[in-house]
Amino acid sequence: MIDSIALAVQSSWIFLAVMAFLALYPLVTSLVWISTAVVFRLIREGDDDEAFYEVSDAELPSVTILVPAFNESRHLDTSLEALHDLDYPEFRVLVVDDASSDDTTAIADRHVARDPRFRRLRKEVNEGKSMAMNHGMRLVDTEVVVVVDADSALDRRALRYICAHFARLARVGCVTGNPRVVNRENLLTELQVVEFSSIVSLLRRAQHVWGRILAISGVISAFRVSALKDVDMFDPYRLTEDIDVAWKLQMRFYDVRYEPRALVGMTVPSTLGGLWRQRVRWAGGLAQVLAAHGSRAWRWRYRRQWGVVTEAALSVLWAHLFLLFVAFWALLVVLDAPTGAFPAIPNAWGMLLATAALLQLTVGVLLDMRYERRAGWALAVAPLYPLLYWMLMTVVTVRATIPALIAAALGRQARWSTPREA
Amino acid sequence: MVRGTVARLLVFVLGVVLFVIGWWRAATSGDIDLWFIAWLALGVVATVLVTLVWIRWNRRIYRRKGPRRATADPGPLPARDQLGRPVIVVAGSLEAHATRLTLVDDVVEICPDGAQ
Repeated sequence: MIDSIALAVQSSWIFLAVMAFLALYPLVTSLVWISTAVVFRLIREGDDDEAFYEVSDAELPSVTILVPAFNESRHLDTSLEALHDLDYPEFRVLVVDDASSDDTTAIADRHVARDPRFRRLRKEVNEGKSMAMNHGMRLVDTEVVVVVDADSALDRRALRYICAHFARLARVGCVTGNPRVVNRENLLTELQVVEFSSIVSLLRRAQHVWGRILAISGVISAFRVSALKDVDMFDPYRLTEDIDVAWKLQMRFYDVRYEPRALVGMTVPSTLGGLWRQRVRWAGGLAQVLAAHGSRAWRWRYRRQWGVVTEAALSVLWAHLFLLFVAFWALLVVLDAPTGAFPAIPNAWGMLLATAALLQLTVGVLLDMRYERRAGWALAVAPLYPLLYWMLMTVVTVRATIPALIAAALGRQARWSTPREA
Repeated sequence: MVRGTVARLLVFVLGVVLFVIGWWRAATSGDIDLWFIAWLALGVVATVLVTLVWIRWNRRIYRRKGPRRATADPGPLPARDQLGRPVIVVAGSLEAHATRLTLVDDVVEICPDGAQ
């Protein structure tokens, strides 16, 4: 009985379609990402393109650097220190302390006393990063606001690279920078170096060329203030306010751009638990955004959004189908039922996928080595990426999607999440 | 430092060995023939070509529309925050170096430090 059911399922067209999708999707997306990222490198990262950034001081917009912080006494001092010496004509720094119980306010006040460009807003009630930024915006009177995480270190010339886009193109509503991992302490952080080059940076290069970007980096993103107000700023009910605001801007026809020259050092989770919590939040946030904006994005007028909607939705679907597929195979093995339609491991297609993944990792790291030569060392751990890290991220997606959609439906407000401290 | 380098090297060697063994097993299992390679090559070329055409189409939309001539002027921020509460920004807050935000009776107030 069990054998006949197992054979019927494995010979059905649905099973074959799922298997084809699982096999083809990673290969096709990898090829599309690599080829488009190379196009970005050719049209936006050549030496000739430096002229784009030569904007006179008078033309550069005024900037407020917004630093939302909650219990960041370990990192805040270093982060603010980097802001004193920025190469930019006119900027302010506003630290928004979201009712921290540690020395965050005192550290911010030391910098306020030292530099007249620094400001501090202390909230008496903790309400999460989105509301900290929304309330901070009440004190912003510049043309551009740059949101920087409290545990990051902005590169000295980052503002010039970012603001050239705002100065030259009125359509630009947001520019996101290039985060670089600074705490390279163990295998997990090394894998994230590879990930930030080959998945995050490479994908943003590709999406920049597609015309729409799926997500901006919360650690460094700059907004034209009028555009940010136009989309009602940051949604406190979203797990990832950065993904949400990028979509809202693009669906109001603002350009969101990726600027690989705008570097920012950031701390990534160094424990499995910390990484798990961070990625559950990211994957859940993406699911919320897809649920909130996905159906509207299919209208003809939003056709430039179709690439990122399709890619994001299919990646979530792939994760769910892959785990279902593995669970079904495991069940058949336990029941000692036939598993003839399942491919043997490793087969040619599996090795092809591994090869495509390694090629993507290599291209991503090579593109980013222009800005961080040390990134090349992380390629040593690249063979582990498709084996371990990819599988972990697949499980994370499945774990996060449904609960995040339920939380959004119930209208639960998102709270601070600093997994690297966990 | 030395331990880190050795660990990286070990992981790299292990990965390369697994990769080579994987391809060797796949190649000797009869999975790979001329048709497989031909279809694969065709698929790769077709995918890249379709991507490039799509990029061109996308860039032409951007060029046709041209740069946005003006940015929206949404005016001042609304009187209520994103949680629906009234927000009062006390005079002098914008210039003050240190400000605080309080929440009393569901009203958000931002005022300079030391102000009542």
